[in-house]
Amino acid sequence: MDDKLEKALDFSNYRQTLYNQQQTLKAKVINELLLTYQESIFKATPELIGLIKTIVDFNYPTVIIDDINENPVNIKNPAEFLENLIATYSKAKNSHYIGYAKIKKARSVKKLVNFE
Amino acid sequence: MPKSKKQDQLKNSSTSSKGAIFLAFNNKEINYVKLACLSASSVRKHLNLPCSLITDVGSLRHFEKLEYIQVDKIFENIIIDEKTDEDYKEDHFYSKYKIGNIDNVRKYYDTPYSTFNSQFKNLTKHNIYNLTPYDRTILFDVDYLVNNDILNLAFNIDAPIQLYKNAQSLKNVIPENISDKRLNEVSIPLYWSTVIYFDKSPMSNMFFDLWAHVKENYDYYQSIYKFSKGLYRTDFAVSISMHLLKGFNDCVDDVFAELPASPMKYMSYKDDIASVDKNGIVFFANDYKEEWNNILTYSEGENLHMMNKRAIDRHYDKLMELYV
Repeated sequence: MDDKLEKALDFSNYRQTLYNQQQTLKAKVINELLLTYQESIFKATPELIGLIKTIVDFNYPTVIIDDINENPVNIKNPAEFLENLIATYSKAKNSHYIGYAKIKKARSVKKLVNFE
Repeated sequence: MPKSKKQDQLKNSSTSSKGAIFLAFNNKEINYVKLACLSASSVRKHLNLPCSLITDVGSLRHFEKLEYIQVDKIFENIIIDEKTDEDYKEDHFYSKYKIGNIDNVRKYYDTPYSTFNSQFKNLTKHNIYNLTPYDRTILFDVDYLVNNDILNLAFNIDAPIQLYKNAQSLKNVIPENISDKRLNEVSIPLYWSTVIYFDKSPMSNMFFDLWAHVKENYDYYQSIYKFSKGLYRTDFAVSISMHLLKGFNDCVDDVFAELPASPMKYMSYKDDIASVDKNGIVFFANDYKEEWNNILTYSEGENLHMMNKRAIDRHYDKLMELYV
């Protein structure tokens, strides 16, 4: 096979694997963003953290928030909920950052999939 | 739907027990008890749950004879299903789906290049509600590997039944095979019976009773829902039960919820394991349309439904090292 074509195909394989590993990492991080609170399940998103921070700053005693299944939940302790959200978000995004850095460093298909 | 007081009491009770349960009935080709040991080891490591096994005398004896591992070191309870082969033969499914001399035959793939037929004993899966020793249980198929603790969240959610509706392949795309998405191209969505959380509430009881009813009237429901004839598939029975219990609507609610970490990731029958390292698994992800074409993928820290059971067997010892 022509050298140039072989290089192009190798690069194409690499990009395909890279894309797949990035998607795998994203899916993993989305799962890590989940937390349970008051027998309901939430996703720690920047938007939810921002909203709850505003509620806490305005000293609202409670707030109604939809869980991931769109069921409304009366959050009885917004400050505690905020702490949980931030802890979950930080842990998940830290894991995202580490995983992303590892993928970024890998310059071959074998390195991307730990296949040495 | 109103939730019962009993269910609330159960949730709040500090004494309510929780655990994982596995069904394993060997056939001539697959040692399901061996697979259950691997799956239960992954559950013990990542979810820290006690595990129980439901099996039959023949499967257990076969496993112990091969002396892989001491099964009672992994399972705190081993429950023997007393149903004999003769009892199974009386079940109308076994005579109906008979091929040659073998009853209720399923075609298994091991990569695109190898297939084998073998008996599939899945008719009693709905009995799990009566057999579980736990108040709150997660039922796992023996080909499911747990690699993180996300499923523990299921115990903190106020939903008596939780299972997966959506699945994703190793290539992070939705299943290409229609029967892994819907009962037919225009039918109801598929719910997976691979992992099911349930408690001992009347709501859960109703779900398992309905599952039994659908199984008993499988031909009738096949004609209504127009899914493919042949092998009894518990995913189909569960999907129909969910559809009936949800009032013929496909909706998300707080009684029949999706398990945390949806979609469920799966390795299909045509995928293969390339290697196992100390943290994860390298796969050959096969292309559904171009069977000669594979890409390498690496999975670490993800729960996986490993459909290719022969591939698990080829790498069993290395996989087990992930969980000891």
